[in-house]
Amino acid sequence: MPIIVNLDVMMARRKISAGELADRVRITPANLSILKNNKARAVRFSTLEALCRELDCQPADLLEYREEE
Amino acid sequence: MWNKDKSLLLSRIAVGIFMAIGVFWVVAAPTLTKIFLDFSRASMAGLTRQQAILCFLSTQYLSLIPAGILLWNLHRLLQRIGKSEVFVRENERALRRISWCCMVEAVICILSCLYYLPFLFVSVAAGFMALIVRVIKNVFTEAIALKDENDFTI
Repeated sequence: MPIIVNLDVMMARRKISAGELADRVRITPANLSILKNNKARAVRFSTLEALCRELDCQPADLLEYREEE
Repeated sequence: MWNKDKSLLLSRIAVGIFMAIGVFWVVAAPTLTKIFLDFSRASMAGLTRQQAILCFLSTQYLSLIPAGILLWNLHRLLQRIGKSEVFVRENERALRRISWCCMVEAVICILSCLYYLPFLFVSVAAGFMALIVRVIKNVFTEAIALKDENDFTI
């Protein structure tokens, strides 16, 4: 998929663990892992909103479009 | 009170009964064929009694192979549904196999029309059943895609 989720980068910048973020965003660690590993097919606005709120960032910091080779 | 568990149990019992009938048929087919030929007044396309017995037994034993595969797949399908694994790829494959088994039955019966025309009715019924199961399989394919989409929407 050409949409890349840079969640791990933002998490490293904010020094927050996956478990803690999952807890704050109120999603399961398994779902956070799916998101982090680019396995997700879609992201709900409510999830994106919670991620932006907890990581203090913009949606563009989390999502990136990369042309497929 | 009737519920989905009881309904599933009824389906599993029905499959078990058909499996038992299948096993009984393997053993009793020669005797049943002879009894049928003694009482039937249907024309056998000029076959002798021995030839007619051979033809009927060939049809029955050939039909029992796809019927066995079909019942086994139905049994596995119901087992998975019992474990709440409904819209999974394995069920889609099972339905495809069941549909093909019905189609094979239809072909066997249509070939058997060469010596006994009433097999045409069985053939049409089996072919129609294959079509219905195929459509259900197509519905399952779409449902699995939707479930995947939903499972991976975070």
